[in-house]
Amino acid sequence: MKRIPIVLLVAVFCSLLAWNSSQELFKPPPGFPPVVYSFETNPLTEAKVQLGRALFYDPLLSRDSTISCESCHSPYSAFAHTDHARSHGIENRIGLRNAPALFNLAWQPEFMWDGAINHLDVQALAPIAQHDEMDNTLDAVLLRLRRSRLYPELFRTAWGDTAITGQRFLKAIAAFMTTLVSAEARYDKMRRGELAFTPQEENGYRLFRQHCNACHREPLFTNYAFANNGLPPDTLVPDAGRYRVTRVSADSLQFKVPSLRNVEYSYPYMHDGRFRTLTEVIRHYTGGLQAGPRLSAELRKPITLSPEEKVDLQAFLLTLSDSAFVFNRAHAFPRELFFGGK
Amino acid sequence: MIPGLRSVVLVLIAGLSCVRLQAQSIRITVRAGDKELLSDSTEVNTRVNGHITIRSVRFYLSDVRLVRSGAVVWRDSQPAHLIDLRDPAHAVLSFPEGLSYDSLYFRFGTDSLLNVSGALGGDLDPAHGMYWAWNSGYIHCKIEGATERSNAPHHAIEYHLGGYLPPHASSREVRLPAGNELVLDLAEFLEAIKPAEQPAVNTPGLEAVRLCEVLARSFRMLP
Repeated sequence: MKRIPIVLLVAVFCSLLAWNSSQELFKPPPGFPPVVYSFETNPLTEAKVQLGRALFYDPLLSRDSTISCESCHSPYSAFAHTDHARSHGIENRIGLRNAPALFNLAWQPEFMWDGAINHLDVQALAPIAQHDEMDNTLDAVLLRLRRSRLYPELFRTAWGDTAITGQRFLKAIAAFMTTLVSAEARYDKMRRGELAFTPQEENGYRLFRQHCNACHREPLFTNYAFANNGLPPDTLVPDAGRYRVTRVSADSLQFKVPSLRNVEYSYPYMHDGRFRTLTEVIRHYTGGLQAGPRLSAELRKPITLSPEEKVDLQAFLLTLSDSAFVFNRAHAFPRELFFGGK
Repeated sequence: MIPGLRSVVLVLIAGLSCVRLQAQSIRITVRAGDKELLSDSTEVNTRVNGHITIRSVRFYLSDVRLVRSGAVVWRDSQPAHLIDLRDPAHAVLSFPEGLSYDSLYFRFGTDSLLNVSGALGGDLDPAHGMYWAWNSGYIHCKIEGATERSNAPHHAIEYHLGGYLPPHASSREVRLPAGNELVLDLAEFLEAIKPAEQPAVNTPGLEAVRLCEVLARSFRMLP
C-alpha cells in the first residue's frame, strides 16, 4: 500500500521535470496564438532536442550520405535554401518546389506547399523518401543509426534505452524543429514597445495591413490557408498544387500561404522560386497576377502602389528579419557532437 | 461470505462460463478460395484475371473489440495489428481469459484519428513501410504480386490501399461471429482488380475505396 503513493509522487515529479524543461526549451512568444503541435505526446527534453538537432544536420539520412536536412534548410537563411529556386537532392537531382524556410512550426497545422503532411512528426518522412531529394527509406536510415557509434548513446540519453525506432527518430527531429522559434525581429521589438518604426517602416506597415494582412496575418504572418495567388502555371514543370492531395478540382493551383517572417533571407520566392527579389514579388501583386475563376478572393481587387509605396512596403518587410534567430548557436550545426571539442 | 456458498457460486460461474467459453486467441490467415496463401509466392487461378502470383500481403486490423449481445465486453489496448503473410507468428489476436462473447468487431485499416496523430509506435511505426511519406497517412493494405495481364515492369501488380480523408476514406468496420480462425479471402479481390488497366494503385482515391470495400467484406470466421 505504501508503495503506491511513492510511485505516484515519482511520476508526478518526473512529469513536472519534463514539463519544466519543455517550458525552457520552448517559449511561446507573447501575443502568439496557442500552438497546434501536440507537445503532450512529445514532451521536450534537452537530450531529445539535441538528438533531433544531430539528425537534422546528418547526411546519413540520404541514400548516398551526401545531403542532410540542412542542405536545403540552412540556418543562415532562416532554414530555407537561399539562391536555389527548387530543392536539390542527391546525384544532382532537382526537386519540384522551393525549400521553405523553417520556423514557428509548432503553430503550423499542415506542411509542404500543398499541405500533404498533416503533422510535424511525420514531415521528415517526405524528403527522406522523395526520389529527387534523399531517395532513402526510413528502414535504411534506422539501420545506419543502429550501426553508428554516435546514435545508440544519443537515443539512450533521449529515450531511456538504445532502441532506435521510427517513432523515436521522427519525434526527436520534430522536437528539434519546434525549438526553431523566430520572434525577435525589429517588428517584434516594435510590438513590444522596445523601439519605434521609422516613418518609412510605419508607412510600409500601414500598406501591409491594408493589402497583405488578410492572408499573411500577424503575428505569424500567414493564415496557413491555401490560395491561388495568380501565378501563371509553369508549363515546363506542371504542378497542380493542393489538388495533388485533395483531388478536388477547386484546389487546383492552390499553394500554402507562407509566413513572411525572415523573408529577407529566404529568397527566391513562391512555390517554385520563380522570383528572386522582393521587388519582383511586389510587382507581381501590383499588376503581374493572372486573373482566373480560382484567383484568391483577397486578390480580386487590384492592388495599386506608387513607386514610393512599394519601397516603403519593402522597408516594412525587412523589419521581419530575425538575425538573432538566424545566428542562434543552439540551432546551428552541432560541431561539438560530431567532431568533439568546442 | 460462507465458504460453502462461495465454492458453490464459483462452481456455478465455472459451469456457466464453460458453456459460453470462447477462444482466447484467433489465428489470422489469408486465403484465395480454398487455397491458403503462404509466405512464399502462391499461384492463384482467377476467372477474370487469369493466373496471378501473390508475393506479399500486409494489412492493418485496428480497434479490435469483443462483443456480447451488442455490448462491448473487451476493447484491445493495442490500437492496431499489422498482419503480414511473412510473419504468421504475429498473425494472432489474443484476449484475456474467461471472456464470453458472440462477435468480433474490428476496423480493416486505420481510422482517421490514427492517421493524424503524428509518429506512432509498435505496429504503427512508420518504419514498417505501411505509411505514405509523400502524403501523410497509413496504407491500410499492401497486396503485391504479378500477372501476365499487367504491362508494368516484371508484370508486377501493386495495390497499396489507403486514404483517411473524405470522400476517399477507405478503412471499413467489420463484424463477424465468434470463432477460432479469421480468414481474409482474396478470391473476390483478385477478380475485382484490373491488372491490365491499373496494375498499381498507390494513392487514396475511388479505386482504393472500391478495393478496400471488397477486402472489408472478404473476411470470414471459421469455427
